[in-house]
Amino acid sequence: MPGRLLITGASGYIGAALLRQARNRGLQVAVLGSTSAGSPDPGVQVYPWRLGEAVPGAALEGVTAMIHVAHFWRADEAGAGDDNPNFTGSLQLAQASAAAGCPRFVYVSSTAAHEQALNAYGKIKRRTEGALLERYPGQVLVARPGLVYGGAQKGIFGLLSKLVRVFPLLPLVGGATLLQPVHVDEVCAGLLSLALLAQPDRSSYVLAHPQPIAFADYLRLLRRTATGRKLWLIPIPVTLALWMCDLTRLLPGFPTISRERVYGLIAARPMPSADDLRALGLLVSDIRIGLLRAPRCGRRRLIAESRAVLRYLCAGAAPAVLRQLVRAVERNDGGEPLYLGAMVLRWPALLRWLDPLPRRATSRLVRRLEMGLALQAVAAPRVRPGFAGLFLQGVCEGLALPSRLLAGLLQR
Amino acid sequence: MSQATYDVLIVGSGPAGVSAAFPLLAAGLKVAMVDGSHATALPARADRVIESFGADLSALLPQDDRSPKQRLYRSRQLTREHAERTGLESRDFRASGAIARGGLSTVWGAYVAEFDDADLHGYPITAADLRASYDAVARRIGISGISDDPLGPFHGTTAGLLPPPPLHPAAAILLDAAARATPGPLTLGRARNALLTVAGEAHGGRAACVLCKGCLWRCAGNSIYASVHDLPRLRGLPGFALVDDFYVERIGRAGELWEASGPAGNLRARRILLAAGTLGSTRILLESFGMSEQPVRMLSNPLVALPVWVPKAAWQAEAASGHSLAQLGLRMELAGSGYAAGALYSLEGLPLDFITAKLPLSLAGGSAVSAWLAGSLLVATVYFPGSHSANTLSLQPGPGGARLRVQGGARDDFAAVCAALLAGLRRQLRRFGALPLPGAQQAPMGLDNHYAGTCPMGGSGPLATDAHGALLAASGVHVVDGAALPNLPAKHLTFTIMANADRIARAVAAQMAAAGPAA
Repeated sequence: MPGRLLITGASGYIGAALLRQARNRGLQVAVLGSTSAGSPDPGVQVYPWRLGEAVPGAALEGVTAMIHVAHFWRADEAGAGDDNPNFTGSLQLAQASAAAGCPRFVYVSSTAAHEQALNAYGKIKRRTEGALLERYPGQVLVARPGLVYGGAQKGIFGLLSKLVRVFPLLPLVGGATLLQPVHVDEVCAGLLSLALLAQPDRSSYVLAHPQPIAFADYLRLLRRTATGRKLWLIPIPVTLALWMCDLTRLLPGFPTISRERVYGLIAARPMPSADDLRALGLLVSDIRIGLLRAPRCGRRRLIAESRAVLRYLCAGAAPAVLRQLVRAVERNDGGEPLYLGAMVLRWPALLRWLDPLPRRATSRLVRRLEMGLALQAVAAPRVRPGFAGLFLQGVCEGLALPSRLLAGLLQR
Repeated sequence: MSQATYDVLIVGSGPAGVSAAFPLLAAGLKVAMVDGSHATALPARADRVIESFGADLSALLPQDDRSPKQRLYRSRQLTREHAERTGLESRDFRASGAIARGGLSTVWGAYVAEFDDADLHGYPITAADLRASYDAVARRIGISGISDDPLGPFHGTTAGLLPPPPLHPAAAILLDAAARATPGPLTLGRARNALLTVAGEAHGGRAACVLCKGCLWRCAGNSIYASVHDLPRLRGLPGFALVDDFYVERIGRAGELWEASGPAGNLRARRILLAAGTLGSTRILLESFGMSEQPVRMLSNPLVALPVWVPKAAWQAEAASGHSLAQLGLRMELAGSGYAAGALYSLEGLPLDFITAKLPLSLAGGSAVSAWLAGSLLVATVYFPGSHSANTLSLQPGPGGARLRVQGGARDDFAAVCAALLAGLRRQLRRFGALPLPGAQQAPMGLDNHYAGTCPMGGSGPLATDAHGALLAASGVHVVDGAALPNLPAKHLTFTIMANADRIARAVAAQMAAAGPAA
């Protein structure tokens, strides 16, 4: 794409992942609103803005596609009326984008947006979709993600993950409701495809797995992958659930759960998506596989692997050093585990046979090893081997050499 | 602050800036020093992991070609702000500058050497002109070393050297072998460092080195000189003002006066002394005189590093105390003419991962081997004369403001010269009973941070200056940092930059006294 991509809602769950993915693909990206806290990316221009405010003129210069992810949740509590900024603000944004001659406006809606929606969120998304497509046909494309999971612990996924990790027993409403999961990275890939799509053959796309999963099964799966344990669910009547939602508002330190969520859940219904996915060439993985990509689930693995790396390098893994290595990988190197084999985790010395020759920094294993090495060099005291130790090292080096050369050829 | 008037405005608080300030203040002039940044209060004793890699551990990701010091998060922070501010763009070059207080001297290697008359070839001055200034700077910063060894004359005749710190065993063995061998193209001697081994009155409250091996992170007693240590002293002198957060964008005439302006406002003075470092000072001049897209020659010292093993020290375990500044100095004659110069460092207190990762062994094997070698391994860094570099510096206009661009390069025959030097050096080291290890490498251009020569004294070109660093094109503006050096010998340059700044400042003070007080 020659021009630049403008994203709203880049501090949110989907928006932040979208921004990262777009940057990773080398796209030129600007952000309307704010990015999530942390180190600012110098390659991303940020224009301060909020839903309902006028769009800064400079933001739209040279923009060839805009992806509108932002949603102001608090505004939905007042209902789905005409003055909801999610509605007015989105129209205002589309208008500014059309006026600036931006050829593509991708509106991120939801599978909750349907005529029978009970919650304000679903209603307002539906209304906005309709109004946008009516006023700006050809320019607007609507994306309807399903139940988004994976990635950072944010959004509804973050809320549910936290709940199932802490509580082995949860009250359940709408357990049989069918939902269509989709990994956040897949949603982002879909959104970027929509932004770059040359000739769309339809105006809205459902970004969700064609095969729905029951809500109760989803929760059980979340707990199983996060903790390896079983989740017990007690079905409760809707009225009680609504009342409990109100109660969460009063509990200090407990995440507030809005009534909106319950309404959204009980009214959810599957939407056909297979055809839309095919049109986009987007593969949506099964949630059982997709969940393994969520960094939190991999965290235990990451810790075990980091411990193995440190033990391999210098026979010991002080808790503080281990913590720092895990943190460094999570913050700066994607945070994904390497999926080392069980044998390697058990006998870290085997890593010598996998340590590629030559080492390339593009390999994740090499990066992980070198990060561990640098950390240990500063944080751990040096241990000088004796002559016998040195001799043993030499023997092992010789034995490991063919395997290391092979690892060097195979490294990516 | 907008219309305050001073006698002299010094741009930059690095070694050149503070060295120029002392003589001006001694002459009773009103001096303002502007600093693009401000003093940052570092936590008294930060975790080494955090100092090395940052609180977010972002500097832990593998980075090639960097020395242990340049890898430090602190060093990277220091240069990052400068790069962002100036839109610095390096091509075939690793440029780093600093806006932070104290400039690059907060991470310098503290090696000290004087330029002799041969080194000053092409300069409009002689070693005698610098003598008084070398001595004055030496008294102020405190230099340890000895003068009666083979490199004594090479390092210069500075009086009042402090006793050197104890020598590392491997370095001692190598030096001893070199002393007994017949003279050849390689000369070794004790290193000369701006390291306080005995603290005195003149050193402004800095403490003597306690050999804590913490040099890399932060010198506990400020025993290693950095120009920030002089700022409290300067502030105590009458007539001195330090203006924080004043980033100079350009300078220009304002009637009889000169005016420096930037986002923080403007300041006026009768004279301006540019001491913002070669990159900084040149940027200001290019911007002030509207010289976009006009490349200026910039010198640097191409650099090679070579690990050297001293087998006779192999039984040595690492000493419990020591320092990580240079242990030995070296001078190696180049085929043809001229010489390369450098230093040998021990691995005291350095993280060894930069060696381990270069060995062809697995990381576990490499860690064991490097830990075993640590007590007997030295690393030589060797600089080539600046004449081997062929870099240019230019200002490129762009939509977001002008960008400073460095285009790196080396003389055509440099690869051959470099290979010949390494071969010779290896031969000589073997003659001294040391074993040069594989893994010698030429550092990327610019990693030396020895940038100079954009405003050559007695030279030619649009930014040429006279013997007092005064711009030929605009009287009243003096360049007192590395930019003014017309030639760059292979020796470490900071001490000479400081002495030259002192010398120019004395001349400026004399000129201004002769001209009488401001109208």
